[in-house]
Amino acid sequence: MKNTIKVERAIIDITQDELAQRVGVSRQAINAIERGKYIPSATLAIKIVRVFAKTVEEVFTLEEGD
Amino acid sequence: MKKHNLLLPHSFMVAGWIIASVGVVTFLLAVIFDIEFSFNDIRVLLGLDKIEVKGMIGLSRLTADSSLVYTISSIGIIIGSYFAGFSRCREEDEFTQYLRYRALTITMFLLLSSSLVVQIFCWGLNFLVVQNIFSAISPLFYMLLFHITLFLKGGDNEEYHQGGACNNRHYPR
Repeated sequence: MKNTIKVERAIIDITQDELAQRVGVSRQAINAIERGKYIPSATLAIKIVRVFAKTVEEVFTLEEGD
Repeated sequence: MKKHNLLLPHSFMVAGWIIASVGVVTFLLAVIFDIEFSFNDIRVLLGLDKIEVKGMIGLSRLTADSSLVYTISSIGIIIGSYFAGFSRCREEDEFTQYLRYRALTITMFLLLSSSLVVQIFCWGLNFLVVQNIFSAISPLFYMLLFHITLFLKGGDNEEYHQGGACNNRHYPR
């Protein structure tokens, strides 16, 4: 699963740490999600996209084989 | 986020690392320099061998005629690994839960695989020794696997390097 969290963060100018605080997880979790090392739960994905005022499909996209 | 009541408080983590490290170092030193002494050797050394302790001998491995160094260091490794591996991270979230689950699954798979190999290829005293070693090092393996993957998967960052989520602190921008 691909995501555009890094781009979205840059648009609203927040760090991984700030995003982590807003959604209530560790900065390492956000870092792992951004790098595609960890796929978040539906709950966390919704919390993340709410920060960017976007829909889940706009931020997270399925890759071939997902 | 749900609290995990099965996990120990975060303060146990540092204590666990210290106890496990001391246990591993002591065990390795005992193996390298062939250090061995038993409960009886200590009694003789302290001149207490005349005192009757018949009931205590054989009560546990600590008072039996076996090496105290190996027994105590093994206990240290198991307790230390338990504390460090099963204590709550500073920020316990779904990512750390996922890594715990992954580390536990791999550890369990290796433990069962080793048990199978031991069942087939070891017998007699060797069976007990090898089986015991695998059982003793599995908590250490889990603890190391969890912390290493936590560091590798979540530690690298373009903004600042601050180690794994277990040591995560929020820094001002």
